[in-house]
Amino acid sequence: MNIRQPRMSPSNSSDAPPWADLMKSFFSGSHQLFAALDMEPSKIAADEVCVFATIPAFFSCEGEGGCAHPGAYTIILDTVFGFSVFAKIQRPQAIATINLKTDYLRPIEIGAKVICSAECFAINGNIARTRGQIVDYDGRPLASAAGAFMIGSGGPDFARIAEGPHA
Amino acid sequence: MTRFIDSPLRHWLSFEAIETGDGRLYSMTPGDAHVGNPLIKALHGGVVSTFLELAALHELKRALGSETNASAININIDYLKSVKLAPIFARARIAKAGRRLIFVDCVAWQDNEDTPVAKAACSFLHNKRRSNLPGERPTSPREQHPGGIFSP
Repeated sequence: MNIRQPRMSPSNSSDAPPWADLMKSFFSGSHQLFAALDMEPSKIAADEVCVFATIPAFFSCEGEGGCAHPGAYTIILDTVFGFSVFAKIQRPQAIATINLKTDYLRPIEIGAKVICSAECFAINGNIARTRGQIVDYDGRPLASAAGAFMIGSGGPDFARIAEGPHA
Repeated sequence: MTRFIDSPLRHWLSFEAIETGDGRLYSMTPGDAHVGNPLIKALHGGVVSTFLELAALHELKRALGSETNASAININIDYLKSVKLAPIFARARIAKAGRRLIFVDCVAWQDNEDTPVAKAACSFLHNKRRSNLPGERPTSPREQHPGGIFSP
């Protein structure tokens, strides 16, 4: 797997494609899970999507503080993988996760900030393949994963989701 | 019961473990905070994965003792169908418990145990000391640069 550091820019460049704003609206909207993880995109491009996130307190498996349950990694990776597929196909279409394999490389404490980078590296028919990793702010790898997604899964497309549940 | 039962994560997931005549049944009662797709009220795949991994860890401690200290190495999960905003149940099975490695398989369902919504294979490292991974210490927010490396 090609391990790359995410681009260290806090916001998208001015030449960002129009669909990037639509994708960003996910994270600035009313999605409770994304809000709880304080997810903020730093790069949205066809070849890579990078998102900042903070490990929330409710992921503690030891009472107050302490180490986070690694499920936090899976939630972040599944989310960013999905966005990497959207960024690749560049059109609003429903997708669904088929499977996800996550390797846990290093534990993390509650409240730590992480960066998740992902790419959709292949699309074969309706199947999109993704891979990515989570690193901490010092660039140390925390988790790596690979996933497969079904494109055109029959659900609502992401443009409608971005508009909100009452749109 | 293990210390995980009373953890914040257990409360966030509304995670329960119930002894049945056919082994232990694990359950989660999801809410809006667990939704991935708000239009069809489908649970986030990462939440389902977290639930199954927590069930696997409880089954591991049930089989090997509540003082067993094991850390997750990886998880491989297949999503068999969309998981709706309704109670979700799971059973876990120890596939192999070696001296250092433990493999646990989990299956989750909602309406009927015969129609699973997800299945997962989890592997754990049996630690003798209280640490998540050998030779590693966790990344702490206190260790990070005060302003962060992204500061202007």
